Amino acid sequence: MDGKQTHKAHRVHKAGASAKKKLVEKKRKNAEKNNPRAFTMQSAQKADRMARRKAELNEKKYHLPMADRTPTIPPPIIVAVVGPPQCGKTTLIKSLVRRYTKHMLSEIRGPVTIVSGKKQRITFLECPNDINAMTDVAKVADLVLLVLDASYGFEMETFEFLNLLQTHGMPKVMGVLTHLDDFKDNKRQKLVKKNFKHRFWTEVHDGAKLFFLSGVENGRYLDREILNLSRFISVVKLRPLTWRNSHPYMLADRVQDLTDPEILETNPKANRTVALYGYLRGTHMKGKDRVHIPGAGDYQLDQTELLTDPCPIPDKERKRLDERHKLIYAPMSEVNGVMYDKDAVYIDVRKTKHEENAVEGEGEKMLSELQKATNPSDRLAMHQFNLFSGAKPLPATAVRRPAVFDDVELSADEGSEVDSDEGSGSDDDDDDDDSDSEVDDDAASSGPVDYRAQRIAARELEDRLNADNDDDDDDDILRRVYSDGGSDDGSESDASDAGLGGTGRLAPVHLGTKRVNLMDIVYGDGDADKTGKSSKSRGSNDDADDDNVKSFAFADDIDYNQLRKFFITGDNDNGEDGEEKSDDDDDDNDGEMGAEEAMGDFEDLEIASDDGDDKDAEAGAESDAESAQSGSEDEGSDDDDDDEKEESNRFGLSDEKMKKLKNKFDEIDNSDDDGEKKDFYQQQKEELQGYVDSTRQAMDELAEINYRWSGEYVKIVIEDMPFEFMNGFDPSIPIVVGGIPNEEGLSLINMRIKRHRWYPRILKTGDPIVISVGWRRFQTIPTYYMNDRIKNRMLKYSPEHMHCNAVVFGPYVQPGTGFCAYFLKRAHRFGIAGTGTVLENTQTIDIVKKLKLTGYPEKIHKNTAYVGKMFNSSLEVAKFEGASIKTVSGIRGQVKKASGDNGVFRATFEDKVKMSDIVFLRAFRTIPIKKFYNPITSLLSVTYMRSIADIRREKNMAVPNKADSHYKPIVRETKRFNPLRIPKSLQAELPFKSKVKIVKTNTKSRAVVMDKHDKKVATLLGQINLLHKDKTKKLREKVQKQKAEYVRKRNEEEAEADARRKKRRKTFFRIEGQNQRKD
Amino acid sequence: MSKRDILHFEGHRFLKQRLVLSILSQRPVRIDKIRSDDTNPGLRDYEVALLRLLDKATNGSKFDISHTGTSVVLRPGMITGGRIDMDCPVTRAIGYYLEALVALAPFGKEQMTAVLRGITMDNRDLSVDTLRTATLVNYRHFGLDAGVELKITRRGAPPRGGGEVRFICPVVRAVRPLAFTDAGRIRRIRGISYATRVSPQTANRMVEAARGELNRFIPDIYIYTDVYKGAESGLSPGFGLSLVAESTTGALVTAELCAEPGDAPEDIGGRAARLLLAEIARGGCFDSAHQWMALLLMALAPEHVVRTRIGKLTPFSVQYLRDLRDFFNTTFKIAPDAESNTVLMACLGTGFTNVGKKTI
Repeated sequence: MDGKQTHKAHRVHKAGASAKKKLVEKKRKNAEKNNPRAFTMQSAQKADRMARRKAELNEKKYHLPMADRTPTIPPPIIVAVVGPPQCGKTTLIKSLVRRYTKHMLSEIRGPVTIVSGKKQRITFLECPNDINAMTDVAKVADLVLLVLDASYGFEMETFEFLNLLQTHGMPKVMGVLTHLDDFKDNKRQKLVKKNFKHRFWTEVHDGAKLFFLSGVENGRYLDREILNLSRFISVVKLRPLTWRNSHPYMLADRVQDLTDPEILETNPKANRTVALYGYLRGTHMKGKDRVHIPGAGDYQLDQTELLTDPCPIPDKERKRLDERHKLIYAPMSEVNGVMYDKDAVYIDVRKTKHEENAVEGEGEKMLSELQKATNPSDRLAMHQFNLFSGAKPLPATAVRRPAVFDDVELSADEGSEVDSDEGSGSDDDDDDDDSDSEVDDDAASSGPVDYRAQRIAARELEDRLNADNDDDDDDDILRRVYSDGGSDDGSESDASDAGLGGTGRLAPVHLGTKRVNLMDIVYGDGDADKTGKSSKSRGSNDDADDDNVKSFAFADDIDYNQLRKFFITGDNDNGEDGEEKSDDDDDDNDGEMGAEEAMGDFEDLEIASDDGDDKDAEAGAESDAESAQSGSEDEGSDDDDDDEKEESNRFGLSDEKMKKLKNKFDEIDNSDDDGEKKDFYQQQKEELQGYVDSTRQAMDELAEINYRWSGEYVKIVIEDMPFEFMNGFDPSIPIVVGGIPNEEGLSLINMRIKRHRWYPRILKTGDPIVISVGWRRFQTIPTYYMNDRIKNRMLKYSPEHMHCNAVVFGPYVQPGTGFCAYFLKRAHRFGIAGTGTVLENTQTIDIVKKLKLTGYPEKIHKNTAYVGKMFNSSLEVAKFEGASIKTVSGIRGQVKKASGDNGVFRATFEDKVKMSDIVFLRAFRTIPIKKFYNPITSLLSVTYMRSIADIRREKNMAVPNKADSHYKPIVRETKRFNPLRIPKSLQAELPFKSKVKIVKTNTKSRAVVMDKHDKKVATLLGQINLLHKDKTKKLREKVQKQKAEYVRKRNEEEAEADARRKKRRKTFFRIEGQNQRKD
Repeated sequence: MSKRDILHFEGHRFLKQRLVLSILSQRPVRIDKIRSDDTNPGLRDYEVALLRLLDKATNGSKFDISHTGTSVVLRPGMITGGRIDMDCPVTRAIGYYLEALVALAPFGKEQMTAVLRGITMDNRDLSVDTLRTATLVNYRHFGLDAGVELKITRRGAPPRGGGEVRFICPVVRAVRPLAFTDAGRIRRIRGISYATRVSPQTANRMVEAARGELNRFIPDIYIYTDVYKGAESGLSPGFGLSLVAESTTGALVTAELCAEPGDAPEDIGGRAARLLLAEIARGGCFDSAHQWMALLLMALAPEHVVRTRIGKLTPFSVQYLRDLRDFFNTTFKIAPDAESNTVLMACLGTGFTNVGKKTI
């Protein structure tokens, strides 16, 4: 594991065709680069291609539209200061804090929140140099200040952190170069700066901001440079990141142990109740939600509470930030010994002596414990909170001023008195049972009389449900409500009506209490639920089924007049009493109806643009006299008017109505035009933003349900935290609380992974690896594989420079999420082992590996052979009947049937096999995926799985060394075959065609002896030949000479002619030019 | 680390929705005391069939049924989709099973093609006609409608059934948030009058009767007559009427009635029409048969506020809301609107995404 793998370096061709080609290409490219104008628009095709490419690039720039969820008062932006040790992180934070607040912090422990501007707050967070902490910081930081030590150079932590950032959604990054005063030589400093900048740009992006801090003065960086940096921080623009945009999260800036001291006394290792404080970010959160704390695991929130903002943005519009408002909030750093709580400021008068001395008397101990645990404000806080839970959150001004807070309390009390005249009673209730559910508290805070009524109504409903259940006749309804005289007047005493629907005559004042009624009937409180459950069990013995039975009972006396208003044909103003819809709506509907009656063509348009139009119409309709007033008389008179004007147009509608219709029609027309102008991307974006806006508007409306919204300062309580969390608590390690909606089930996660190019080893299947994805970090055993279009083949090792797939066992992750893999035990200088994205969550996956079974022929008939040693029993053979097999020499065959019990089988081949052949059966075997999931509990105590190599190293065991597994040089003996020999008797019987014929030809080797005459002839012929050759050669030379002469002459003539022509042209154009000038 | 606790319920009532919600929310559930005091204790055959169907539709689910059949533990796996083929017991209609698939199928790993055989219509469960013409059409408010199909290949009337439907539902990644509070007014009424193994005239007689009731409100009525013959008509004679009223804003109101032995077609037509009128009178954007669907898909929406308006909350919906709270920790804001006698429902979506769906 330690030795670095060496690779053969790539060698560039320096000679040969490809090198030449490259050279030519380069020259051409240079020419294009040096003289771009000469090469523009040479061909239409190229221009077209370029235009297309440009369009493609533009399209690539689009991001998936994402809703901007930043609340109106955004939470402080998290500025993480990251860097290797001893590079000046703390000094940087101190300098920045000092720049913003004129405070010089003595030490940085935990996040430091400050008000940095009229509309901006910043939380500074120092990142410890530990991969676990670094992953968590990378998941929450909005802006990263990457501190680089110029005197040392880049360090691996920086690159690791950048990789972590990239996989978890890249936030903004700024570099800060420190220790520049170490350079005495100015030139060298310049060079270092330049090199740093270039490298930084390649790592982050071109033009990434890099600050140079040239020195330290009075324990902080130069004020001028820090001012510069702070200006850049204040104008930074944050892009929403996918994961954070769809999950709630909180960076805890204060942690408190709320465990009952009595319990701790009896059992110091009891699970703790822990309160975490911080600004909520991302989406919303609610009590009983499940969260994940990286480094601690999954927990259920016991409660979430809204606290007043400890570091509020000044509420009034001011020109500049007042000194008073330059707040600093760092509860764990104990700024000036001040600690903020919900409604008070605690001043810590240094650590008391008895605490420091650690020897405590009984009484002192008790006192100190009392101080610690019962934080009086907490209890107080709870009931205050409940008192105005339905109301809007407090304005931010209420912080840190007890006087102001008292006011609020008073007003809240008054409010409760208006609601109910026993506010004190409900207070008592709350004090008694703190752990009651919020719904209960809500109920308690509403008036007592109503509450009783609700209860009664709820009981009635329950009873009715039971009753229904008991008489198992089919009248039992759950799905469909029946008995609908109720729809007529709503005064039917039917339980469901009274409880759920009716009484339309209640004045709007009562609506508030009614609302509580309905919510309470549905959701009730704890005991109501229980009764519900028991009732279910009670009703269980009848057969009449429950869930989805329809019912067909209906009142025979349907009031048809009432019904008419539900149809477009119906008239609206037959109102007998005030139970119609609002007037605006009515008019609207009238309009629609009229439109449909008159111009049926438009109905579809109207449906398509229903909501927006209605709103528009309503807005517009306000000015209309007709719509402004209510009451039946008015409308009656309208009718009269209508009648008078009825004849005025061919549709039989009044002028006014026609005008309105026309306006509406135009509006629709216009809006449609606009719609076409907007492109699809814009539309999607707007739609998404519309959802977010409507959610923002609905925040007050949903206040009852106790959602905690992004930007609020909240306290969340977790009940079953292991004691190690508090025991080993280190404020410098960031604690992140991340919401995990629907991400808890365990499954196989299919991911695409690539070994990091700086990680010196390839990854091995079965080596436990830590994966950081979403909020989580967990150790798991990966199985690498690749898909070859037919099957998923297991890989023992990940490919060196290629993506491959991996399957791990872990909790659900949304497909498309990026992840980062590293080993817990850092073995190399660069820690990130691989990165990739999640493809899929699945319960099963078929990953196969090759299995080659070998056997040896035992007995050979013609094309049949009996093969043994491949299987051990006939049962095994039976499983492979019909499987195709092959010998080493390439003869294919098939498994037929077992013969005998020892695993020998009969096989047929396409040819006769030899006894020396080996028979193969190639098969694929699905491998089981190891289901190992071990969340890294770095905040508690880490127990992790070691790889086999680690264990061997620790136990000093050698790697098993099988002689068989060694690669040996392959020695192939050349096989000599005996020459083919045909017996004589056989030869004799062969037909002539096939007989071996021996023809003796020795012509080559025979010598020629010439006599005198022959010699003469031969010499003569030779001479003649020679003469002829010489002659032709001379002739050829002569012809070539003549030809050259001719070409020369012709060229000369041509040149002459050219000159003549040129001259002629010249004179012609001269004259022509003169002529033109004359003209 | 706190383990996620198993949810406990008692009684056989609301069994289906709890199983479905368990699978969607990935929370294990234990249901005890299923007809424990009954002379015939334990799960009924259709409930067992439902468990089988859920087992087929998911991968990795573990169903543990106690020896007596009075308690069920479900450890949910992932919804897979794909091909499902099942013969449903004739004790319940196909609608019973199909409703569970309607809630699950859009969130599977791949497109679901389910072939269910059994009774296509009865007076207990939603008929397949209503499912086709209203339930699946209601999908469109949530952006789930593309490619959804329900084909009735054979009709089967009780008691012997013999019908067959094919349900095809592609998968989505997330639900579209709903903002549908304007119920509008009824602009047309459509319906299907079906008859199997009876005189073809029966269907027309039902249509006549229904039109007689409805014509005074609206002229735009069209009721299809759907008479099945031969092998497609199932094993038993039967007839019935399914009506859907559509409003100007796209709200659908349904009513249906199936004939019992001895019923006259005219009676069925008239009563179905009056049922529809009663349903219309309740108002709201979703009728009482589809309230559960609206509530479920609202709870599954992205983290935005979603709202709708419904008529009276049925007791079934009340229980559904409670179960949604238990499974998803979602509480609805329920505000009665006294003027129109309806209820405004609003909640924040849970940000549900289909984690099983593949990316490329």
